[in-house]
Amino acid sequence: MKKEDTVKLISAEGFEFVIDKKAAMVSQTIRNMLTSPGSFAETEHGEVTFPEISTTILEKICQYFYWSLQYASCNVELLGLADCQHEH
Amino acid sequence: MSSGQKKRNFQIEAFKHKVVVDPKYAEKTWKILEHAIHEIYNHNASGLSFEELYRNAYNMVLHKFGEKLYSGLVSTMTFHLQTMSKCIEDAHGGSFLEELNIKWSDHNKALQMIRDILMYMDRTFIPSTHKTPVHELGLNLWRDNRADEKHNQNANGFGTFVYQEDFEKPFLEVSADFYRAESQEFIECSDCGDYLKKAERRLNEEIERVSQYLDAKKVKQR
Repeated sequence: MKKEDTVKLISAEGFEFVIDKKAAMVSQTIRNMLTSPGSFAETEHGEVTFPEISTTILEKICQYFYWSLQYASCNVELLGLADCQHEH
Repeated sequence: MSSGQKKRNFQIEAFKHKVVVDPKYAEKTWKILEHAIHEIYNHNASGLSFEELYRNAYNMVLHKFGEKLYSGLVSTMTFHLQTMSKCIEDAHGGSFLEELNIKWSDHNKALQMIRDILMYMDRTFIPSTHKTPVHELGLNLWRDNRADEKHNQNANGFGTFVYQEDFEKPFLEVSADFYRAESQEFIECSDCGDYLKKAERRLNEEIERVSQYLDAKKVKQR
C-alpha cells in the first residue's frame, strides 16, 4: 500500500490503524475532513485521532469500512436481501 | 415496571461523553468553536483539529445548545464579513476588483470549512428548526454585506467603466455580426413580406431582451 493512498486512524488508547483512503472515505465525516479545502491538522499529516473512540470500537469501524466497500456495488438480490429492502 | 421512578438518560453514542454538569459547558465549547472560526478566516487553520471541532459542535447540538451555536455562528461570520468589506472599500481602481475577488474566494473557502465542521448541526438541528443551512447562510450574509451603501458607491463608478469597455463593446459587435449574417440568410431565402415579418419579430425580441438586462440608456441606443 502506497503511503499516499492510506490514512492513519488513532484510537483513544493510541492504537494506530492504517487503512486505505478509499475505505476511510466510506464515512462522510472523514471524507469531508480529508477533502476539506482548508488545511486542517489532519490533512497535513494524514492522521486522524479519535480521543473518544476506544480501540475495539475503532477496529470494528475499520472492518465495517472494508465490508462496505466490498459489498457496495453488489447486487442486492444476490445477497438475498431484496425482501428486506422492500420492507423499508 | 418501575420505569416512572428512575430518571432515564438515553445516550446513543457508545463512547463516554462529557456529562453536562458544568453550567458553563456551552459557553466553553462555543468559545473553542468561535476561536476556530476566527483562525479559519485568518488563514490559520493548520493548527486546528477537524476531529476536535466536529466533536465539539456535535456535543453542543446533542446537548441542546444548537441555538447558541447557530446564533454565535451568524454573529461571528457577520463580524468577519464586515472586516473584509472594510478592506475592499479601502482598495481603489484596478485593485478593487482584485481585492473583491480575493475576499470572495477567501469567504467561500472559509464557508466550506465551517460547513464541514458544523455538518452535524446542518443535518439535524437545522431541518428541525427550519433555519438556513450553513452554506446558504454564508452566501446570504455576503450578499447582505454587498448591499451596503458605502461599498456600492465605490463599485458604481468603477463598474460603469468596466461595463462599457469590457462587456458592452464586444457584446454590441458580436450582436451586430450575428444579425448581419442572419439578415443575409433571410434575404436569400424569403420573399419581401416574409423578410419584413422576420425582421420585425427579431426587433421586438431584441427590445424586450435588452430592456431586461442591459443599462437603461443603452436601450435607446440599440
